[in-house]
Amino acid sequence: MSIGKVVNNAILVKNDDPTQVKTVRVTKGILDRDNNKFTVTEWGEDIFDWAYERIDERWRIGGLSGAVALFNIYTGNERNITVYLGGQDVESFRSYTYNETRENPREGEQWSNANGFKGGCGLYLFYDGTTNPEKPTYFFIGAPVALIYKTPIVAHPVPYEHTFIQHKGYEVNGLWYPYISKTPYTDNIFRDYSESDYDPRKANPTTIQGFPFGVNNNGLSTSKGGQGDMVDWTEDIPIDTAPRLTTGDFLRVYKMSAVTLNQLREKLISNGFLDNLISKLRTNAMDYIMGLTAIPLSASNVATGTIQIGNLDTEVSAEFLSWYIGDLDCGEIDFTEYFQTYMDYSPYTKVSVYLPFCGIIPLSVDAFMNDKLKLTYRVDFLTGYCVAFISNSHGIVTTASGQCGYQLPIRSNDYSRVISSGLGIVGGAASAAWGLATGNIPLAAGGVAAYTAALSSTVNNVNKPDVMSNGALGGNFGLLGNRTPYIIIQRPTISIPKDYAKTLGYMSRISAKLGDLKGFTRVEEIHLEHINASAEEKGMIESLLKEGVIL
Amino acid sequence: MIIKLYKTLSEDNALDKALTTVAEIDIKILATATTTTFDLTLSGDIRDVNYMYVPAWGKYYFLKAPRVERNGLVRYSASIDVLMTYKAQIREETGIILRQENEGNLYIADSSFPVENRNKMFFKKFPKGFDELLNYYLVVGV
Repeated sequence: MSIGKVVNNAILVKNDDPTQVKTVRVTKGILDRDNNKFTVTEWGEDIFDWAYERIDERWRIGGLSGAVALFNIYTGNERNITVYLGGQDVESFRSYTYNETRENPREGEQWSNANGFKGGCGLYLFYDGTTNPEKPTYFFIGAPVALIYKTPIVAHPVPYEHTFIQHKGYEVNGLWYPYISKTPYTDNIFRDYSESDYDPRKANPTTIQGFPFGVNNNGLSTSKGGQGDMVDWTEDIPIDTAPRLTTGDFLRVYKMSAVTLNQLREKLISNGFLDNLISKLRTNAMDYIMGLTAIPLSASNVATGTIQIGNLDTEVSAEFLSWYIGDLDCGEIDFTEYFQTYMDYSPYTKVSVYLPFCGIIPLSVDAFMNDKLKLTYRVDFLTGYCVAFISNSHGIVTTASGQCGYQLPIRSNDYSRVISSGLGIVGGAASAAWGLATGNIPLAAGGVAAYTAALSSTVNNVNKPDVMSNGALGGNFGLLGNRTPYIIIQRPTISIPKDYAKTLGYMSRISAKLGDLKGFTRVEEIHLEHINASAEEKGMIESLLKEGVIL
Repeated sequence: MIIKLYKTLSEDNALDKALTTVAEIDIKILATATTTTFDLTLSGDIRDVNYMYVPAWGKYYFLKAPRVERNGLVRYSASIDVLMTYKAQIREETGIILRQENEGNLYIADSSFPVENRNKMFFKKFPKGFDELLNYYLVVGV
């Protein structure tokens, strides 16, 4: 007998039995029932597709996209009916309840949503159990319907007053039925828990992330952790643009060449200019010259003018900096896995970066593997200080700072200051050498805080003492060092015997049916539940499986 | 009791062993024997056996430590091979697999991994560094 019709791509699941799943892949179909089995035949061109059934069973209808769009309740009986209808994205589940009596018969009640329901959708239809076989009740399901479950009401004696909690499952007589898939959600089929699957540990509506709305539950305990959504999130943190630091007209930083320096010197010692200067400023011209710094970087944020000393124009042309801070993009280095094993990560693989003016900085390779290591310097042309930003494609991972400017003595007392500055750094270098000897590797010049515990693992050869120096080259020593940054990668040397996998196997830590595996297998834990053997024999089997067997 | 005698080259820890039939004979087992380990004697004419099957018990046994007796018989120690005996049921079991030949995850740290005590060092420059030429920056009060 033909009882209804469904649309294309509908999936029917009878009595929550996954083995009775029927996928209907027809453009138009008709849903027949023959001895309790659904079959599909061709059908006409009606606008709406329908499926209907007597409401003497509990039905669950769910769809994945654009699912239940229209419901039509037709009753010829005296009863209370509650319909729960909703969708994940468009609106929350809501209930529609009406009381039908002999005096107030309702026919053709409809609920619909003009936009349809997207995402997980569902219809839950319950009745109060007062079935009158002589006056059956029917309900109609509007299409498109992606999935239909049919569950006998005896499986879940759900009263129509039950509490439905959005996206969480439902509670019946103090029992909680979460919507959690028993199998991986890969086949677009909703799967609910049956009574036998009910787990009291899941009876907490405040913590359950119900399937399909919070897919990531996997049946873990609800009260002892494991409820994280495990959604990877990250936000890219780019390097801020350099601040446009300037002092306006109080002082200027001129970008000089050897030629312009000589031109300025000639101007300063010329009689006419000196006389003019002394008469106007009544002071030594050198008092206005605050410093001369050599930096191996050309500032780009410059304007052209003549050098002003006090309020006197030297008429020597030179570029001056519009602001004092600029960036040097050193580029990036791609990190790819060398072994494609855990050996590519810390503490087995170690990476350091040599930063001019900062020294050698140890990094955690984990931050850059299968990513990039980017290096950007930010230089203060006023003071010669620099900061190195070490970042991956998502953001800055660590920083280091140093002095990339060489303070040139232009007066007699400047020379003494430069020498004493250098001696101070020598003291720091001695301290660094002592740190290496004692195993306390000192950090490079300020801003370096990335000495990770990864460098002190005890596995394999990673506990070898790390004596690679960091050697900060700060102050005026920086200019004497290498000016090209580079990375240093230390990788272990693996020596794998030919039959390693066959003899020992690789680390696996998966849950698997032994019949699905081939080759050497060593079991970590197993419960022998299918073997009809004596306790002694089971013990022998378990012991052998843990020692390793060949499947 | 009928037993089937085999020669096998398979490893003891193989779930399924390749067997070559040598003989099928009738023997007597001591009344006190257990079904897990027991001794049995075979004719000295039967050679090159190391495995047997007892159809009545449905169990497979290793035959080990052959010892020649004065009467020319050879005494073997039989010990049950639970893997071969219950191989079909074992395959139905599900467990947590620690190590596996074909289903390994090489991103899990493995303390058995053979690693030499020498490291390789690699160097790589960044595309750009500081300039070879120096620029001079003169700071002047205005």
